[in-house]
Amino acid sequence: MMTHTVNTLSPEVRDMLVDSVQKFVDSEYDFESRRSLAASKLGYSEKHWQLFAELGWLAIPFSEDLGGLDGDFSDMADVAECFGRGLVLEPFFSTLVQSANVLKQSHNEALKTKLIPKIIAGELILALAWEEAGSGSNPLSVSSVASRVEDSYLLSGEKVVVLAGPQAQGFIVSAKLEGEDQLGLFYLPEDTLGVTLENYRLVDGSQAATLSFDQVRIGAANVVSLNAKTTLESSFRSAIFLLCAEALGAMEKLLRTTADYTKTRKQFGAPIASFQVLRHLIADMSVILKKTRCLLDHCTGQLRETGDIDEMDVAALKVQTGRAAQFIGRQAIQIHGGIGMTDELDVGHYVKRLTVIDGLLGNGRFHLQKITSAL
Amino acid sequence: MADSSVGSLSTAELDRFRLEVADFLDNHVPDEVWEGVDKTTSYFPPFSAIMTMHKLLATKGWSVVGWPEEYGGPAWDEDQRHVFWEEYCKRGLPLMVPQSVNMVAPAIMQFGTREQKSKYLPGIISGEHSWCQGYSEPNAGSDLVALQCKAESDGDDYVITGQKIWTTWAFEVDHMFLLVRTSNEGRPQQGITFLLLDSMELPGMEVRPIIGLDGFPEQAEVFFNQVRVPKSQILGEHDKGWSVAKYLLEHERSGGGNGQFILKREIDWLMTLAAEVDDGAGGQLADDAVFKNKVAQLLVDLRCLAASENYLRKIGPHHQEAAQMASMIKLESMDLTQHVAELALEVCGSFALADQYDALKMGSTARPIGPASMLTVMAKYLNHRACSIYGGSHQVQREILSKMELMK
Repeated sequence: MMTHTVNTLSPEVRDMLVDSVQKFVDSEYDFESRRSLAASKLGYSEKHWQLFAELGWLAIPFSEDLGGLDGDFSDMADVAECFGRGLVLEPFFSTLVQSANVLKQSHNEALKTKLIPKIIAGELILALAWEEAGSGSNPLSVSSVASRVEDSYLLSGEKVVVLAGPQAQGFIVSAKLEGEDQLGLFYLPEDTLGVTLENYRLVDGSQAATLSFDQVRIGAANVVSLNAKTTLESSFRSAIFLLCAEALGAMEKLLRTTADYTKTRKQFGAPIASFQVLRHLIADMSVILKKTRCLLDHCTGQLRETGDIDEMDVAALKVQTGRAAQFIGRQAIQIHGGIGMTDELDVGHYVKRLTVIDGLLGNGRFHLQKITSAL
Repeated sequence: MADSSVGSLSTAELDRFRLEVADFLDNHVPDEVWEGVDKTTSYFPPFSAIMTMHKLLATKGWSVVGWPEEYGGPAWDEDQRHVFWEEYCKRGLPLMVPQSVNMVAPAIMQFGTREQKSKYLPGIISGEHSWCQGYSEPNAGSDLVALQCKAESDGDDYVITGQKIWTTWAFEVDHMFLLVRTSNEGRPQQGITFLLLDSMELPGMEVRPIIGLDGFPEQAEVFFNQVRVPKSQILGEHDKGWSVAKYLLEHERSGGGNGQFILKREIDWLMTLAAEVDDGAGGQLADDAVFKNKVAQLLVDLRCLAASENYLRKIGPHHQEAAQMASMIKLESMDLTQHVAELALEVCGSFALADQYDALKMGSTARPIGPASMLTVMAKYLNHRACSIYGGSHQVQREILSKMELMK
């Protein structure tokens, strides 16, 4: 873990941003609007995305000289949490978290100067294609290959579960450098010859793709990194952190909804909140949420101070968030009863988002294995 | 349910019987049913697959194997039934509509008039008719006795007004049995009547499917606006429907004793999934010690379940321990079902996150997203959350179990 000065937003700016995100979620993301957005072909709203740009949310992690706010990923935790509360569908995570992170660390200044201002202006949605069928959730386990031909690279391989793949206008793809023990990251504009996409939806209504590329030629101008192991690892850590922050928001909302329901739903002549067994379930949901939040806050502090999070802390955070997401999701359905199993109530949609978050970027099993291996 | 003479067949005879069953199932089941097997994502397989299978089994006299012989069940002993279910469930084949075969039918046998028996049982045996259960209402779920859907007496008819909900397959079946309130006098149990409806399209009836978490409808709401039903459609007596419902509930909860076979297959499936997943360290998840340990724990639960089901089968549904065993088996088998689905999801990780709606539709030729073996993982995980809600929620079962223990 490197120690360096981290540029972060001032608390005042951060509060202002979060306030605007909260207002947006409250006014634009009622359940029915969200549902029709998810069902639309695009899967999100371009109007929203433009608003994100205008309000400066797309500028948070980038340096001032490129038009950014000079903030860091720790500054985005509250934003992610608000998004979790509203089940926001815009491809913020793929563009502003996954892709922005590796771009920030790139030394290809020309490429950064070309792409980052476009991101900030809301004109470019990016997807990070790191996962493969055989990678077992490990971002360093890559079998896509980049072979050098003069000044260019020829890329071949297949990436799976590329988040926002169908919506992206460009991809950052990881590949093994042929003949070297190193990974590279390459930028592929969406119209690159030889790239094929198989688009689909995840169960939470978001979009993903399988990305295949066969002998795709990438010029030096589009090389993001030829030394990408550390970049991938550290970006994986902050992406997990922000995904967990989003989960916290979703869990908070789900617990609130469920607790409120127990106060109004009557069975056996009384609100079901009067039954001890349900009160204790609510207590357990509250405890697991609170301790997960403490762990997240601990990680936020670390990230703010050092610019990175300890590997074991991140693994623990992902494991614990997964556990909390499962427990809170399952009990929210159980306490609601049959109605919790229906598409018409928001409860199931929160459960599905939480289930997807648990499965992304290595699920609990993967991260627990990491902790086990370190013993 | 049937009188059983345990162990009247020799081992060789039983083996021959097993071969006969296996041969029939392997060679005569049409593709449509196998498609339904591959696309089963909840307790209930796709409806069309069930009914196709039901009609096929009826040609062999095997559609109602739990019924007494006098009503059309096969002349099998308890061992044969056990063997039949083992062979049947290990292939993942669809169980018959329980509301028809295991719920309304035993109630008709017990409480029905001669006319009702001859009117309804043959259609259930052949698969020509199928039934749904109108019990739950928006404000009467776990607290069933609070039901308010009312039937007012008008000459020779009842006039039904109210609503039912969570009515499985109300939009597929053609018959309904339901509980209605015929009196508000006395204890709430006393004013309930059990009715049989010959159609789902009676004037004033409206069925609205409910879309589930996987995008498919399985349950429905049923609305009654002055629906007229002749009084001859009562099963049992006016205002005495609760005793019919209680009798029927015992049959629902005692199940078929075949949860062990269904779950055995699910655990086997879990192992095949794990053989397709890289562990991220160069091996297969199926060889991972932690994973194998988790499966081992599920196998211990499976053995307990099998032993419990076999014990309940041996003592029969009228034994003093039967109710306790039935509630316990409901809890245990549903927990195990959920745990297997949870572990399957854990095994598949990000492979399981796709929405497979298009590929899961019956008749659809859309390819699954990702490995075909993982087609049902997410839908099962989501749908099986209902296991601890339907048929008496976990909280209700525990209430029953604690009362029985505390009354000792």
